[in-house]
Amino acid sequence: MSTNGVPRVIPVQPVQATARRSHSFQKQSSTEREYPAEMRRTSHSTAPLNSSSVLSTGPFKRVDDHRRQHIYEELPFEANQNQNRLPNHQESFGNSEQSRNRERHRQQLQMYEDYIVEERRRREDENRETDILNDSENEDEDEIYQAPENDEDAATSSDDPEYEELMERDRIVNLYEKGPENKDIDAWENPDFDIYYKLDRFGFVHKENENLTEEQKEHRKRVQIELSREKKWLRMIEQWQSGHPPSKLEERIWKGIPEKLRMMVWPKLLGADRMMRENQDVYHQLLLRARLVSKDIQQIDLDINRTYRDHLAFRKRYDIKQKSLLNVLAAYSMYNTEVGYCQGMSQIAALLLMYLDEEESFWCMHALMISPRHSMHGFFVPGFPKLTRFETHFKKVLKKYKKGVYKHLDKHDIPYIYLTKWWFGCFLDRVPFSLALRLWDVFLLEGDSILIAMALNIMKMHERTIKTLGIENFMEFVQTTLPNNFRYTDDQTMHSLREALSKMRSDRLHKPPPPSPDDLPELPTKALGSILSRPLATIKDEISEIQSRKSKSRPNSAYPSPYPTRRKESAKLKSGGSRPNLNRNESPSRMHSSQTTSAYGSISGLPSQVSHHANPMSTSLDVSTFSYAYSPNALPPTSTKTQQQQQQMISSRFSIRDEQTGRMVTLVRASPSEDDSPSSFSSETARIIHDRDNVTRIEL
Amino acid sequence: MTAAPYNYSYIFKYIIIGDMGVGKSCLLHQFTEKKFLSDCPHTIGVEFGTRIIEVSGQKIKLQIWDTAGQERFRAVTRSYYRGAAGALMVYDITRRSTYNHLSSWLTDARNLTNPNTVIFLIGNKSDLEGQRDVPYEEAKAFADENGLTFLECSAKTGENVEDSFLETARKIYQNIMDGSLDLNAADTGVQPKQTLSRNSGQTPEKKDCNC
Repeated sequence: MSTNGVPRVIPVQPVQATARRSHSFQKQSSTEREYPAEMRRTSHSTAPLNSSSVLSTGPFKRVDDHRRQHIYEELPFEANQNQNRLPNHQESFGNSEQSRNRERHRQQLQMYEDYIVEERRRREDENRETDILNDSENEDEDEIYQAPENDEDAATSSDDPEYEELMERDRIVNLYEKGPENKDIDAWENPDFDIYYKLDRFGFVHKENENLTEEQKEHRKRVQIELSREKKWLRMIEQWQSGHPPSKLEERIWKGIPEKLRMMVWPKLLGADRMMRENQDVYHQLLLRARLVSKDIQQIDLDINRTYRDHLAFRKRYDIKQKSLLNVLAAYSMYNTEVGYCQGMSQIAALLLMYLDEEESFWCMHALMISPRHSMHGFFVPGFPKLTRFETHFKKVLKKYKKGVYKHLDKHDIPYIYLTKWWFGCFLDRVPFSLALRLWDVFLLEGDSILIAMALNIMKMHERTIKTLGIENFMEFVQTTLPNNFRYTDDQTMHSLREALSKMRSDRLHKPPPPSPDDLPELPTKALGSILSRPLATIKDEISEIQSRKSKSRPNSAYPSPYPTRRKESAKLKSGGSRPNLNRNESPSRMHSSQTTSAYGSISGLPSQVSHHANPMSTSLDVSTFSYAYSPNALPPTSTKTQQQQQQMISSRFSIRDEQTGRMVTLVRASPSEDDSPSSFSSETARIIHDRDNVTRIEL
Repeated sequence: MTAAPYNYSYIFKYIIIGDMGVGKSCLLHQFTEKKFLSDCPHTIGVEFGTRIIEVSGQKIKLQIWDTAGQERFRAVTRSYYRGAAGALMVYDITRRSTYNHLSSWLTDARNLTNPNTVIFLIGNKSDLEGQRDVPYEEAKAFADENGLTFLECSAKTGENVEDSFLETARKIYQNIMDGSLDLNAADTGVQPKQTLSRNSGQTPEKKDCNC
């Protein structure tokens, strides 16, 4: 679902390729290039594969220089021209319509070929990098040729091929510049894509509006209107990208962001695109760590298993979008540790992932949490302070504007619990999806006043129904009826919502009073992404330590399920103080002190079994040598820093054979102690770590 | 549900509690709709279901509040314990951690309901015998120790689901019959039909509900 990837890459590539290879086509005649498309197609299918067949006929000369290897790529084209010389005359027999089509077809093929060449060149380049060491071997395998550099060698059939080439290139580029508005497009070139065609179970496509219900017709009409708005939107986005938000933006968002453009507009509304630019690599680094240490992964996994499983993208277990969902949520749980993972976030992340890639989704998620307009952090953080505040305000608003409904709910003891689900996902799953998208459009624009306004709007629009419902039927109405059929069109609902919002706004009731200082904070109080200050190597060390514990404790475990064991481990990790981030006040100077001690000398005094009995808790703090002192403003360590750290670790290693197990044991110096003599090792401060690759380490 | 005839004698209020992902909502769905909802979304806050059953010839309406399992939602769901006549406490037989947390759920259930509340222990996902992580005997011993009725169920196959809800109702009904449950007391979670009134506390106190 790389929705944003596809349109960016495909159109650009052929154009670039055309431009780049132009020099080698200088000698080509115009007639040569105007052979029939069919012929070109057939020759194309063989020539690139069988380059040796044209080696003898082509106007090439061999070059030995490996740096010119890329010129080899030109072969297929030259070969094609040679082969296609013969049927050239056919061109003149075609009527103009046919030839125009052929011309177009040919252009398309050419672009495709260009793309292929580009791709092959890229691969060759890669191969060259790897093969650079055994040049001599390549000499025999690779025939390296070069197109003639001399004009006289080949230019025979055209007055000015260079000019021809330029014109042709310009024409193609221009076609793309003009875009789909171009008058010179045949009907067949734009296949009548109507994804609303209905395929029956026998495989027949029903093209016409046969048997459409009124509702379906209405839906079709709405889609048509939306499509007609796209052009305006594209122009507006262009304007927006070069400056301030356009004046019409708000108005148009209320009418609904075109489905295709949500992927561009949503991150922009949230300022997530800027966040992403300013925090390059943060997501990636978080993800690396989250996959190793996020404590919320188990809960996230449980919820991924039941998040939009009826959506194509999330249907298949562990499929690509489910993986993205895990990544985004796990990374976020490490970034904003106060929120971590809360039920309800998986729907939001899934919604974002329907439109955006992982990293964009991550930053949109974060913007939703902390931006002043949305601050969903307050909803999801334990204690749900914002929920309480908003609920109180909603009751006030409901009482003011819809007293009848308020009294009815009161009379029937109907609790306000439904607000939780309404607000945590901004009405996702509680109204039809198309309406939820419209609500999300304006939620991103206006902020959380939409939440209260829409709750009020539902009460307003369904006032008559609600007043007839007791608690059971009311709950059913909210849980089942409204999500399936809201009973009003999306446009009607949005119109009514806007009215409600502006009414509330004019009464200054669209926002609840701010949180009082006594309430739980609704925004993060801890620094974001503090995990980034810990090098990956340290984290990995901890993991392997935990693994070593597990291998020790396994024989005692009566129930070999991974779940409880894992939980116990994480509990140990927490209580045992083995997490170096507990040592945040560690002097920063310590962490850079490079102890390039050589081998520790004989460790014969250390009985091999001692390390096995060593208490890992007692020595775990030693790892702090490799952790970074914590500072909220500290940048995440760069990869070079981490490498330094690793270097440092490697430099204080010493390998011996573990006599008990017969395996190699690597002693790693974990803390720069003042006394370097081997006698300072004691059983209390040693701990053994079993790596996956059968290397055991004792940390001293 | 809407069209059900209102010829029942009592309303019993139930709550379903337990860890995340043990299948609380699926049990409810299986009980009210007799279907397994394989893509059942997780519960945010509290959801609601209802069904009329028959115990000893008496029609009883069950109002079932299905709660979110995540720890941090407990603050919200706790207000639903009050006035529950029955509490279904669910764990997942394939995940020991969900069993290990039962004591904490039981503490909540005991502290926040009235002494007559029938607490029923359900070991869900009994269809996944191959992945079993909690032996039946162990859970049975735990239930006996704590005076709970216990059944292993499968929301997927429907096995024992009906029985769990009905057995709980039978016990509540029994308590009414032998007088140990005083219908005039507050927050019993039981409402005789004739006294159905608007202030009878059949739902959690709305003013405390910070949903």
